[in-house]
Amino acid sequence: MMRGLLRNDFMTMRKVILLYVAILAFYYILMLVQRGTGGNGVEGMQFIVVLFSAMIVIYSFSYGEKSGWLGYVNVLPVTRTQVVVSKYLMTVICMCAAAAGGMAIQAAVNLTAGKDPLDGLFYMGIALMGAAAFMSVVIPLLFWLGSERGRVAVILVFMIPFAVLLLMEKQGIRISVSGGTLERLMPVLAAGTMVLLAVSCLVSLSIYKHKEF
Amino acid sequence: MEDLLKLEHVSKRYRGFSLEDVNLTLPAGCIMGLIGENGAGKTTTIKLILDLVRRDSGTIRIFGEDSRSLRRNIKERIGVVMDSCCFSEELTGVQVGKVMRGIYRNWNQDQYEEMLSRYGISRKKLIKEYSKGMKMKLSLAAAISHSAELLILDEAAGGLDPRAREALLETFQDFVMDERHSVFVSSHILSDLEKVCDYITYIHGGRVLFSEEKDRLLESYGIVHCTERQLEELDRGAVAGIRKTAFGLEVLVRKTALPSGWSADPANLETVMLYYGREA
Repeated sequence: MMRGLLRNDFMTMRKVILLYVAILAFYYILMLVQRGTGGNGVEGMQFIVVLFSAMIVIYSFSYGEKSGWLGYVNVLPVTRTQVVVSKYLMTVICMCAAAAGGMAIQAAVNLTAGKDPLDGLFYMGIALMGAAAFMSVVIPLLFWLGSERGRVAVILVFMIPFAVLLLMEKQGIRISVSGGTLERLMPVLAAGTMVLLAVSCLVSLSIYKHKEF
Repeated sequence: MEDLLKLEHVSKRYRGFSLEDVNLTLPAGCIMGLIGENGAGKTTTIKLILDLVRRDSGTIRIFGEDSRSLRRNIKERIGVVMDSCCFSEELTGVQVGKVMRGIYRNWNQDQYEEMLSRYGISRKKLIKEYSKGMKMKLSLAAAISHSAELLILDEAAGGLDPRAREALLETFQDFVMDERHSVFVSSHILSDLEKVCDYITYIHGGRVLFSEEKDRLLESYGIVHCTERQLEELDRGAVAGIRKTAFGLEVLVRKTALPSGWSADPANLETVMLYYGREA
């Protein structure tokens, strides 16, 4: 059942997760020290924090393949659907945990700077949706290619949007969206992200159901 | 007696290898050994049973249900040990128990703990620090500790010392004692299978050469030492395999077809396999 699958993944990844927390804590402290406590400096970290935490699932694929667990789990009383869904759940849990931590730090920094504690938290929502969209493409690739061959695909998926943005900028094409517009679009963007995740899950399921071990 | 496992006309084709028309039946309360050379198709057969690979034709029934659509409560009754420990090496024995408790409804933590103690498995050490034998024992403890009724093992005894193998065989015998449980085990260590198995299935080149009761198999074959001239006196139907040695011929014969006056030495499983495979 899902509980056992998630326990396996999180217990296997505990050292990686601790390492991530330590690295992110270091960078948070560095940014705070560099920018002072004016309430600036941590917004940029939010995107990185959420994206990095979402990528923990890539390590879980790697460990699962190395041990043979990804194949063996299919002889246990779990369905292939549950195996797929557990990977998405793990991703969502990691992203939400990172987002919650980041929001708490942002709120604390805001309070220290005498600002509204909710100021800038909206960016965390954008970060969550961006990371979720990224993982919607990455996770099916991992199910299809495995973690070794999937690494190259993951890097490409990561770089392509930036390459497109760079090209557009060089061509003089700029897309600027105000914070207010983004805030108004949040419900639509959130719904779109959920649809993307659901479609991604169905694609992963279709891949995994036909996999042989 | 219910058949816990039944394969009928099962085939699987790969490029360069095919498993053809595999038929075997494992009744309740029995231990079946699956033997064969490297690359004969033993692991493929086990993977087909477990639906880790898809069969091209035939039927596989476990507890009467098609293996392709096993309900959860059927999977709860099956315990599997693969040829290597499939748990993450970053886990400890205790953590494996926690994982399995979250997966099996009938997980028996007391039985699991008892088996860890019996096998001397450290609860706190990481699996990557275990020896091969300890990893296998851990896998076995996890496979049994959920009221499993059918144990399927793929080369689980490989790399184990004699004492560990003896403990494994005792576990098999205890497991089937109530005559409702069964064991399906593939192994190269034929002397072990000969001690405990009720049935033997021999796969050679992707085909089942025989799937019979072990005692009947060994009683029906014998080894005759003779010359080539003496061999000509034997009915070809009596000869199951021939091996030339420096001292003459060793012939695996079907005892029922031996002419009177001929006597045969007992054959063991290894002999039967070697000679049978040679002729196939």
